[in-house]
Amino acid sequence: MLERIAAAKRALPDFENPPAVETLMGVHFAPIEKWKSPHFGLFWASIKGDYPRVETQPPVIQPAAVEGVLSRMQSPLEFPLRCWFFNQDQTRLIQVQSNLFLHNWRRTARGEKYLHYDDLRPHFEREWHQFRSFLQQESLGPVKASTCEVTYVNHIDRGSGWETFADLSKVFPNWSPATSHNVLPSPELVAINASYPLKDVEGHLQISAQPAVRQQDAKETIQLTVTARCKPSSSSDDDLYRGLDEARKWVVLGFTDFTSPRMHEMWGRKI
Amino acid sequence: MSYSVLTPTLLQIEKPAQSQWSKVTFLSAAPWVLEALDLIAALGNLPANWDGYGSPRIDIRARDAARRFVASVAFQNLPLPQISPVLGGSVGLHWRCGDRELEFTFQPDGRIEFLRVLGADLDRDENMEQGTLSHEPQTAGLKLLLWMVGAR
Repeated sequence: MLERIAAAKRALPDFENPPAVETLMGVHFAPIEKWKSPHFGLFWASIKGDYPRVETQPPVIQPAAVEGVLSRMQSPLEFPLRCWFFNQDQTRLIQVQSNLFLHNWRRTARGEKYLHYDDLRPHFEREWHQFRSFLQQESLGPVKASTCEVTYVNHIDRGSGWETFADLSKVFPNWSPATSHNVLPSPELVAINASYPLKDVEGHLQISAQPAVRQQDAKETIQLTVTARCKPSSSSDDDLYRGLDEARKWVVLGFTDFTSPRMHEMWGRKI
Repeated sequence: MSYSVLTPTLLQIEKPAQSQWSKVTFLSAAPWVLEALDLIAALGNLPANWDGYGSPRIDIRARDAARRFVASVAFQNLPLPQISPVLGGSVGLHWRCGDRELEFTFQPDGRIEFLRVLGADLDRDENMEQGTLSHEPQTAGLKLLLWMVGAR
């Protein structure tokens, strides 16, 4: 069985130098009713050795949950928050809010080694285990997981496979600059949003290609964000990890299918 | 004792919460950014003594800092700034919105100076404030820009 899983993993497309600048994986769950602001600090104390820096952020709100969150925002005593806990070299991040636990990895320099999912999942498992232990220790109740999420954020810089937005068909084969009567000139901006149902599992793959400027170096890029969200069979660790593996599989397949063989060659496709 | 009702800050509204860590500014939200970046880059073409008073060329560090700043602070309601060379090889960005003005100067040594002006009466000290953005300059600059567009 393990051999079959390993063979399936090897069968996924793989790249020598993929354009990924960030990956994140995590679990969405029903809001933990007893979670209060001080719990952020208590949890931080338990991971501070590995994640010594903290920042508070506004919460990520899923569109379906806006109403519920807004009603909580109107409560005079409790304001929804998200906390970011960073590791020392600012390459890994844990995000926690009352209904969300995410682990991010980012590439801080262009030449830095790309960390594959297989390198990162053990980190996630360890931090997730710590989070669950914390919830148990503080009697905050069990996690009722609703969604496993894996997201890859890719930057395809201008000059690396495209020069103008009319070139985007060379990057994304499903897009074309052609118009019915050639009245329109070449586009000055192009953005693509697509959503696909996942096969054999309840969930969706969302792909977004947005023209952007990277703040770190003011370089123009197309941010290609590929997110797979799927429903786990249960809230057990095994089922959550299986859900993450499934989501990751679809992210990789979706990324490869959405981009062109010409770009795959540029990124050094191995499989 | 009363408790204030907390509301999200305008900073959060202008830059909606994301689970992504890498920071980008989407051009669909601020399409003028590319033009601003090009204009700042073009300042590098000015020769020495561009002002006839012996000013040096516009320093690449000042240009890069101004470009990173623009790429970081841009948001939807913000217009294209006036971009100009400044004595000493620096870059100036100037925004005006109604009776509010904001000017940033990017020095070759990395300092970012600001001047903000409220109203036309420049003789009143309380109408002007100047200083240097030191800690987290992008965040501090963004707050000043939100003040300029009328967000309080």
